[in-house]
Amino acid sequence: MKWFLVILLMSFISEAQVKTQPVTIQADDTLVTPSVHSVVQRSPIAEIFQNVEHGLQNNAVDKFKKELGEIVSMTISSGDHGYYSANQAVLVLVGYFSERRLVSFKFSRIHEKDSAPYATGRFIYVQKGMQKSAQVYVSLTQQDSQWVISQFNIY
Amino acid sequence: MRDRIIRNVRPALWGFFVCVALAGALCAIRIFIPSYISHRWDAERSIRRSQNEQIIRNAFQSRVEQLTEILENVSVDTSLAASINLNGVPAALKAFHTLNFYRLHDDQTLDLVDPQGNPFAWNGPSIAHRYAEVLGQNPPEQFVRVTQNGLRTYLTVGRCLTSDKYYLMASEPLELNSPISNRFVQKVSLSEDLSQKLKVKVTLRIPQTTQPNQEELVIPIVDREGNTIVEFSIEEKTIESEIASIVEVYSMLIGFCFAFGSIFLAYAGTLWIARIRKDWIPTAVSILSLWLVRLVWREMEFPATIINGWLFNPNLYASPFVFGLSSSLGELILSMVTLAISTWLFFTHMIFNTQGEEVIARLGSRVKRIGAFIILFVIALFILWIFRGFSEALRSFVFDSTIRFNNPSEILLDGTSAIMHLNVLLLGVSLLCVSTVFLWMGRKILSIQFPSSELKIRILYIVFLLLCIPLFSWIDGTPQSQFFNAFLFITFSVVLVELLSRWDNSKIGVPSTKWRTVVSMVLGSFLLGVPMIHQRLQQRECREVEVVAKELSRPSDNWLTYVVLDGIRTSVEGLKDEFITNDIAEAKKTNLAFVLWTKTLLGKEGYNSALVLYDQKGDEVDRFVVGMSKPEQQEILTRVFEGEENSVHIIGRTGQKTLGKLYGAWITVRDSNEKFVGSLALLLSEHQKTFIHDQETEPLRQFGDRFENDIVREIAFHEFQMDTLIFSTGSKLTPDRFLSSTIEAELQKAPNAILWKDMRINGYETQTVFLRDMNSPEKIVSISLERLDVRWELFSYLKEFFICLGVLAAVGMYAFIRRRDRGVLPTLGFKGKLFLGFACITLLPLAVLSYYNKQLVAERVQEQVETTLYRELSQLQDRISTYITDEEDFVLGVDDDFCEALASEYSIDFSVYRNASIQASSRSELYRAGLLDGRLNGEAFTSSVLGRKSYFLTKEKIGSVEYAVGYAPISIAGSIVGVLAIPTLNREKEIESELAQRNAYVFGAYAIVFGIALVGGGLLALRFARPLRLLTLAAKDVSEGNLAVRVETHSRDEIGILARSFNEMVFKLQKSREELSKHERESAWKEMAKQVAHEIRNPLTPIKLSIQHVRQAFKDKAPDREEILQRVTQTVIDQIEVLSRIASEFSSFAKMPESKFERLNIDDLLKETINLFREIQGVSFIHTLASPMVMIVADRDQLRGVFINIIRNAIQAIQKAGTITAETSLEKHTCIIKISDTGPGIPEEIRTRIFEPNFSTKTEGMGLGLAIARRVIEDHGGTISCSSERGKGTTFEIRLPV
Repeated sequence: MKWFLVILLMSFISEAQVKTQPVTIQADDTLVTPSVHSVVQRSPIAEIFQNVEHGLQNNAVDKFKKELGEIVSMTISSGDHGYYSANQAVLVLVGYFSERRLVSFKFSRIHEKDSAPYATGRFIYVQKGMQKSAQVYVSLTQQDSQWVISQFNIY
Repeated sequence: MRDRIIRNVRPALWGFFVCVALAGALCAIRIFIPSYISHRWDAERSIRRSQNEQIIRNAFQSRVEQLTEILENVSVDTSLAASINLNGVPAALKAFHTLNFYRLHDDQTLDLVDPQGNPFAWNGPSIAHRYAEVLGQNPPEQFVRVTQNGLRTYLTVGRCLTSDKYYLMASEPLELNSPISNRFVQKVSLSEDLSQKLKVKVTLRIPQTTQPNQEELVIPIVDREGNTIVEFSIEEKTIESEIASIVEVYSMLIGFCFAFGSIFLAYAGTLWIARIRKDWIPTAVSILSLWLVRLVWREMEFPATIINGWLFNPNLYASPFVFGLSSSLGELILSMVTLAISTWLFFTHMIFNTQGEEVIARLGSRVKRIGAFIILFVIALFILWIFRGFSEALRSFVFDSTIRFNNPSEILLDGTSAIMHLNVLLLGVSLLCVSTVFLWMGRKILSIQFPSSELKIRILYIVFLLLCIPLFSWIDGTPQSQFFNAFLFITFSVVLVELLSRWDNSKIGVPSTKWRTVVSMVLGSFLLGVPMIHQRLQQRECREVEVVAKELSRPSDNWLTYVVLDGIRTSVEGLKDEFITNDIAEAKKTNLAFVLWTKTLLGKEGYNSALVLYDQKGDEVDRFVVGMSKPEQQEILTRVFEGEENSVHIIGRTGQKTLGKLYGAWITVRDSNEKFVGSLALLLSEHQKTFIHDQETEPLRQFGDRFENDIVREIAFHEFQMDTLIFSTGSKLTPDRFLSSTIEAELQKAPNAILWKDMRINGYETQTVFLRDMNSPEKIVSISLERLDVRWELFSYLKEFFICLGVLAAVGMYAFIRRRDRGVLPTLGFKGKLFLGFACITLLPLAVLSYYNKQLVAERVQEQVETTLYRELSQLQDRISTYITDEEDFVLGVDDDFCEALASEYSIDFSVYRNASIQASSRSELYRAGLLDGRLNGEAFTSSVLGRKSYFLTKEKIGSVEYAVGYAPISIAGSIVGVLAIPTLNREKEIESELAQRNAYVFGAYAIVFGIALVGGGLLALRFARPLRLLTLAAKDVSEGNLAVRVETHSRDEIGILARSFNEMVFKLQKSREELSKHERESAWKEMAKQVAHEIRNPLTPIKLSIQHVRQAFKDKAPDREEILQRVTQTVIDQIEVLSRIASEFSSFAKMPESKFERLNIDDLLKETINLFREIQGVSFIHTLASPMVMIVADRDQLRGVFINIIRNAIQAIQKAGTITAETSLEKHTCIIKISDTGPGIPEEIRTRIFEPNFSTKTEGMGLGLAIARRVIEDHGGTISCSSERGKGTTFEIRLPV
């Protein structure tokens, strides 16, 4: 029993040892810290947008949370807007989408060409028995030579 | 104790079972809900419909009734009707005065309308361009109308006030007709309120303006005449959504049951284990139970589902820590409380329980010295590892939150900030609990290995621990805190361990030690955690500044580019929806530009922007602008039309003393046949300006709020091209013209081309960031933040310290309640009262200061506002009067262009009214769009036009922003032709800034004073309390009998006098005691001598009597004289034996002979004693024997002595002749002996004293007889009493136990 508690305590403390720069967030909602000298490989632009699309279609933010940049600007139709850390942005989005049951979503426009790639699409959902829709806008920027999501607007 | 535990366990178990049963029942019901709903859906739907209809009608009716009530209150006011009967200005004045007397909500309006449909007097914004349209043709006596006017739909209730058809109307907005940003107009929506209430979509529509969908249920609201005023359409719920919402409710209830059930289970389990085990298991179970409850609450989302709001909103704070235990601020505080309690339980178990000692003793005895050091090394690494986690957690608190930790304009922290600081304290306390336990263990193990050298151990282990810090940093590789923080942490932990040892040795008691430990930990947590938070805040601020710098350096903003393109598309679609294209020329009449603008993101998001419509010839037909000046519009339009259509063109404006960029795009408009009918241009400004000229520019987006001290510190933006400064927004923070080569060189080498420097600019200390634009390397963007001085830091720490005090107060309250429940009333000593008194006296002025400070600042700023407004009004009045000479000049010359030109010249925005309507404005687009009311404010009209006052100030609102407006009349040749109005905004920020400055100056310094007062107060309290404490201890010694104690004092004050008086008193007490002892000894000897004498006399009496008897017998030649001689000699011999025994006892220790108890027949003894006195002449004896015979256990001699004494006294009392009666009896287990005489009796006052020693009414004797008799009887466990009657005799009753 004693050793079990010690192991439990140690595992709790290990969870507190988080690094946020750079961050890799895995599907089990824990933050893990890659080694200092490794560089996280980011997807090219289309793949990022694809991950976002799949994630929203399946109500699974974790499909694209690793694509989020260190600071993400978000404007949500529920009235919240601001700059959030990647950790916080994940949970804000999870909270937002958990209250809305998806009907359909697809990126209707993806602009990849210049230095400001973005994608936008209509998100149709049901909330409290009423069907509504919102427009989703995602744009990318370069961070440490990798493309990351820098803006996520729902309006 | 065991019974109490059992008593508490049972209710807890019952609670758990009830919760589980309830959850099970709800689960079962939930399964059947879909089928139940499906069966009843049709009936339910019709019931729901009629309920919804009723609710909607009631809601509408309630609004009507509110307005009707206002009308009734006003219409009974006779002064209003009377005012109509007057003429001219007095009539209007009276009417306005009456209407303005009534307090209305912001958007409510009261209008008094004349028979021609013109407003005669009003209070509130106008609801229509033409009131006659609202009244309609031949309006009834009372009416209800719903009308649309521009942005809003209004509800109006009217009543005819006079016979000549003056109508009084009360109105309020029901709906906002366009989905534009709250920044421009406050949202009012009855349909949305109803939608939220009914959980179905409700739409309000004016009949005949729009058609409902066929699937919608329409509810018409009709007036008394049967005309439909308004319609509400309801998009009903589907059965699936109904089921889903009910299932959601049940799921929530099931979650509650589990949440409460977990508490009961944990409580019961903990109590039960505590009953059966006394070792570490109960503590471990308690800790596990706490976390079990925590996890169940998290899983059931309790209490997040009840407490909806900011506390559980991840927008404030969110971190994906394990199991979502810190997914919001509310979850975080629950987790921190759980952690703090768990670690405290662990701490108290290890430190205050023998278990900890046993573990250490076992471990310490097994290891050698080297092993002890290895253990200490492991412990050091372990606690540094935990500290690393603590540092990371603090980083998350700052970086994963949008909380503003410190608002410098407020005296106290706000709710979110206070909770976050509380989290920091709790986490710090938890950290110190764990680290102290392990360090304490390490120290104890070292003490076991080095038992004799305490000081050596201390030095050794402190140095050892400190050396581990750099070692850990080296192992770690990416340290999460500075060396100083780790050093501080180790120091605190070591100090705590040492304090614990000292308190343990001083035996002050466990509760007191616990309380001191908690105080120390909370203070230590504050001193450790809060500075680390400040460090992180500074890092966050730097990161945010970098983001802003990057945005500024970017050629364009993704989002804004998209907004413009999307706006173009939406506008073109809107044109196709709204209009047949050949009506584009009619655009101005219908405000088409504004209508299209509201449909775009520009309107919804509230951006400063413009939409311009052109006809086929390219002439402008309509324009809507908000927040963009004409030069800005012109500049971007020129660029836009030089480029391609449907693509965004961007202009940077850094050379124009403004920041940010302008965006624009244009597109041709074609009809359904693809024929060209005109074009459309959309413009957007990146500035976050409001509606007032010369507003300071800020970056558009939200970082404006995030700089911690933005209202008190200057932030300046600069741009360098080829190392030369081309632009700076700073008024005092303008750097040198040329960038230094050092900075240029450092920037070359800086990672990501970002460089931070601490610089001095124009004498101000700043932190400045330099960022090279990678797309345009010769361009360097720079942002300077003014460094705040130490008083701001002090002020922040003071506010955060209040949280610390709050925690201590809460813990103190808890301890107080616990002790009171145990019956131990805690007391505050003199030292504590003194200290508390000092603290209160120091804190009280703070509260007073903060109140008056705020009042004073608000008043001062208000005065400044009024002074500025008055000056500006005067300036403009003078300027206008130079241009206009008559009314015609005024009507024709004062137009929008005129106003804009003057506004640019004076940097003042203003509007001009004529006849209570807007004539021209430097912000005309706001009036045309309906964002500002085109009718002159009623009070302003009364004051400036009717009252001819030269100045009037009022507060008005646009959107949610309140601002002040100054009004002044424009006169030509003595007659008022119009009214000038100047708004002033952004004063709130000035007030805040001024307040913040004052607070920091005053309270920052006050923090120092407060600290000194606390420390000084503590020292003084100690000093004053010390002599009193010494006095207390001395008094305690005296009470225990030590009279040799003295209190040392050298002071000459009252305390010194008290101490000297005390010493004197004790000295006298000592002397007096010594005398008393001597006296007592003497008394004791005297007493004893008396007793001895008395005891000796007892046997002497019978000897004397016997010899007298013999002499008499021989004198009388009694026949039995030989026999008498024999008997008497035996008696004499016996009594001589007694004497001898007394003498022997007395000679050995001068004490009376000890009692010799034996079983004897009381009657025999009594008879024997009586026989000694039978020969006395004149006394007869009657002896009644007890039946049955009474045997008692007594000392024969002593008892005989008692009887002799009593009988002798009786004989003496009789004097000449009498009878002495002796009788014995048995009553239950008591033998009663009564000896009565027939003497004269004993007076009452003497009788009560006869048993007192040394009391005697006789001239001879020492008055000890009866006293000794009483003592003897009491020694035998009995009682003796005396009753007497004057003239009849005295009876002595002796009761002895059998």
